[in-house]
Amino acid sequence: MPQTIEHETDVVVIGGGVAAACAAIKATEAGVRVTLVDKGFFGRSGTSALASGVFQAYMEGDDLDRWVKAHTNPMVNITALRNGIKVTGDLLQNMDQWGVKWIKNEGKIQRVDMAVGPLFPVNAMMAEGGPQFMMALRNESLRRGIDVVNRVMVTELLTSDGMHPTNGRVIGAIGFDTIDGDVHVFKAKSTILCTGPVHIPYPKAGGGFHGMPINCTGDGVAAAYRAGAELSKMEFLAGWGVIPAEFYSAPGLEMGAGLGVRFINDEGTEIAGGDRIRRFRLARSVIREYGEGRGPIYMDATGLSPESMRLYKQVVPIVLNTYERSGYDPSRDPVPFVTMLPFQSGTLGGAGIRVSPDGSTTLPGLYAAGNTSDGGFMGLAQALNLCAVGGWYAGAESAAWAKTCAETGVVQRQVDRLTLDTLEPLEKSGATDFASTRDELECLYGTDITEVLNAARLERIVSKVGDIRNRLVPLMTASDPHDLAKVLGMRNFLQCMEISVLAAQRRTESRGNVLREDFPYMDNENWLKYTFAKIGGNGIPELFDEAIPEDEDHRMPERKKVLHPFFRN
Amino acid sequence: MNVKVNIDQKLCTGCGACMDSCPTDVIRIKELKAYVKYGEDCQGCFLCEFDCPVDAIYVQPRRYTETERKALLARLRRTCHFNPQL
Repeated sequence: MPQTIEHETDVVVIGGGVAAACAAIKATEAGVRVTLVDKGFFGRSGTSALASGVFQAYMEGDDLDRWVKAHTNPMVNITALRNGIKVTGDLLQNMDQWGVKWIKNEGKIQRVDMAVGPLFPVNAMMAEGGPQFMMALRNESLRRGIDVVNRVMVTELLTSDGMHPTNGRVIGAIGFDTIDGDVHVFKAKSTILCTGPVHIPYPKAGGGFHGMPINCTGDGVAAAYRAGAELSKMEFLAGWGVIPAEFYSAPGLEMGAGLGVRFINDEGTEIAGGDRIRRFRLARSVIREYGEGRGPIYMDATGLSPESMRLYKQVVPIVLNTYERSGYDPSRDPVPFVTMLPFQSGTLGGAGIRVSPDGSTTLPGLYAAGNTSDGGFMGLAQALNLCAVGGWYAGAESAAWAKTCAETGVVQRQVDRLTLDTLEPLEKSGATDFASTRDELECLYGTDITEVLNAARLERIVSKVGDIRNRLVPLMTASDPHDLAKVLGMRNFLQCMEISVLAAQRRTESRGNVLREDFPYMDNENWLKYTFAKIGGNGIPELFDEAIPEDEDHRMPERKKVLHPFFRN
Repeated sequence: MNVKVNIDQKLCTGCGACMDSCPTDVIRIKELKAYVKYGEDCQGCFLCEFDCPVDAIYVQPRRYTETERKALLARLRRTCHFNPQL
């Protein structure tokens, strides 16, 4: 029989990537007790350990305007972005002291000018890639006395009134051990969600699905939504990434493009060329090339010097290892790439839990950072650097709240009910399993879910996702705690995805990665708005908009309709 | 299966480093030896191989077969197609 294990702390951090580590470390500076809960093993799980090996960091003397200039999207709060960028420089130096190995020259951290973006122009390089980076952050966390709980998947938030959605505040979380099935109850004054992006659980490799990690399934976003927190910009869940066609591996795009890789079509013609590869322009070009029959598209690193190739492999070891082990020699062979389909991921579009610039959500006692949050409007590209900054802010704010906040006991009937709900798929037999639900969902990607959408297709997606959620999810069974994590991950992913589709349906224009052939214009007359979602009283998502503030913090375009760049020739 | 994780049972000391490092809980320890329990969940991140102190692990991702490549290309043609006249 599974046991119930109770933990009591001041700040509980859920997740184990850069945002979680920075949040936990910052919170300890206020002298509060901190517990970090990771679905995997802290330092080895999540997106950051598998990251592309660069940290976009500001340094004293940089031209801050150059950093901010490229962020022309009116949804970005320029002041919040400026402040965040300055913090990246402090974090770079802190991480150096914590043991992260950067590539250095005569003791000074080397930065290279990057070709991607150029949203973040100057990047520090990790000397041993993401794996060493995250282990250093883990070691610093342990040194500071942070209590780390590994292999526990948090499933729900606990609330002071025992209700979902709550009228009170968040007072901790509940989850289960994915190895032995024990239930863990975390009683905390502040709760910080840093569970990463919203990925399809364990998809088939390649073919338009995001890359690794394949188990960041939007657990924090879905749990916050069920507890009553507002979600933000969910239609922009797809990040317009370009990814290797055959593998789960990340693209290693920042480093590769910085060194001079090109993208070519099947005829060998360079696409989206120019001095600098812009991520959105690249994604647009890849979609058009495939759509017009000039695929496959390849990442071509054959022009790199041996020295650049050595550096590429050093900074992005996982990506380059994947190519070489599977038989590509990137110095000779172009590697096939594809774009990601909509309604998944969430690393670049600014979708996630709505937070203020200080990391607080719309629920008292609940904070979010990294890809789980909307980035506090600091920027839509939630790269490693802004995830770290978001964590830093949330850590400070949550610790301050924990110091002033009175103790509240957990509502036992809520704990009992959530325990039963969490473990229910283990009790059932027969019905349906994870794989058949996943396969049915994947069928939807590539039939109704396409890069460019229209009203009829969106209507079909809404109805089919609703069908999978209503028909299959309640029947899913789990054979053991490992399988239970996949089943509940699928439930969480579908909840986030459904909201994303509804938000895209509502946005009757094309903007960012939301492409609609029935509304090809960016409608700057009617749609200079943020879209938010929260759970309604009847459990159905309620969507609403707020106008982007017309102030000096936002770069407002002229109020007229303009054809979205994707549809321009 | 997209990725194969090979563990050399002769070299393995059962220290558990690979079990800790696996983000998706693919590897477990039984009778002081590591073994692949949930092979279908491997994403091919190499962390187990990087962390193995005795070099007992070799991770082998695979490329698509010709049939898979053709199916992917056909699907991309469809998913990337759009009608700007609509």
